[in-house]
Amino acid sequence: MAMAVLRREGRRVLLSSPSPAAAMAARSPAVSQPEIAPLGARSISTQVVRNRMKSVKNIQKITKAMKMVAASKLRAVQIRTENSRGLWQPFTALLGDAPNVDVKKNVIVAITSDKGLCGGINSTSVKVSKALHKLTSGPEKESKYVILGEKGKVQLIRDSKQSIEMTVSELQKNPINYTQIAVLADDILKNVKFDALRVVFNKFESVISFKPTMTTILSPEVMEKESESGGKVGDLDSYEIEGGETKSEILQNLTEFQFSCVLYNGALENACSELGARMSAMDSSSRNAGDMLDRLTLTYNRTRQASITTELIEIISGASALEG
Amino acid sequence: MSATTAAVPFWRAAGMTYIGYSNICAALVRNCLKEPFKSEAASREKVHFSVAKWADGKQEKPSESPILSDPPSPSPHSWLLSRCFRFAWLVLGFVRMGTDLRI
Repeated sequence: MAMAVLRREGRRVLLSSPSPAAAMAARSPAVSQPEIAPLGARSISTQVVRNRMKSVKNIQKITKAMKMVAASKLRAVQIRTENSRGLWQPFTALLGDAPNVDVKKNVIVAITSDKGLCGGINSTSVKVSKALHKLTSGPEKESKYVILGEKGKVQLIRDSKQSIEMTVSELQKNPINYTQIAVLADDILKNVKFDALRVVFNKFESVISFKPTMTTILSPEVMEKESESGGKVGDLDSYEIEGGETKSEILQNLTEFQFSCVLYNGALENACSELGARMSAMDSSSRNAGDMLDRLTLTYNRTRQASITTELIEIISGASALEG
Repeated sequence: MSATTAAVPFWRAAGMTYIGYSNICAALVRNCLKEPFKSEAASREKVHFSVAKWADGKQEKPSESPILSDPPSPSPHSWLLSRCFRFAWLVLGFVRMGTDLRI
């Protein structure tokens, strides 16, 4: 792209003969640069290349700083994420996970980030959500979106505006805590009609690996039906219930609590994945900036040496003309 | 098996979900802490998000987090409060039972 800059300069200055300059530039980049100069100057100007080098260096510094910030934040969130996994594991052990349950009203809760520059995690979440939407819509079935985070909203607005039920943003203004997610889960439960909730998020496997994951949570009525049909949920009858509550009541409490726990874990895992993805994105960005800087430095040195050589030639030819 | 319940718990009858109920109980328990743990716990209670409902492909005006993060300031003899306090311990026991049921 340094070549393109020089070619552009050439076209601007040498108005009388644009094609020879362009042809020369295209033909022999290694031998000698075409002489590019602002009108009136006598030597080749390295100003353009120098400006570009300065801006690329600044970008490199900024992306390095962003990477370090993300790394430091990641450490804290990772601990909380790993601790929060213990919240939903008992539920899965007790009630099982039924991703292929066939229900009429599906609600897809997609957890994405608010800020950008975090690689491709939001696109993968949106892709999975769209595929789920296609899978779960049919003649008698329908599915809607509840979107957490700005980036998901922006992507899903483009073609699924009619299916969006609710969007939530500014989740990460304060560090994510259970109370906040519980209030949000309460809001969703109260305002959205559903038979099955599918929470889509990026699970944090390691700093470089994030897997899109989906968890299914059934509404109490569907859970009752499943328990009657047997399987893991059907074993619930072998438990004795203390207190004055009935099984359907306990199931209702359990499904609500399960949703809140799963949403909490999903939000934390997604935040972790976002920080990890941002780290690797900023890392590759600073590496690319470094490569660009090396190439620009070579161009700069070549241009500088060419201008010195030109000056020397002028001086020597002038001197020899005087002598002889 | 799924007979209609004779008496739902008072909070279910009042329109709360289990999550809302446990949130209130947790806030009450946090309120009982002494300093400095109380201020540490207060940071775990901050609720902020902005939610917008959609209808017909159009976004309605977004609203701040809809439910108060703090419970209403307690008056010592409020009936609901005293029942909440008693049930808070039951709730914590419930949670423990839930995790103990892990096979």
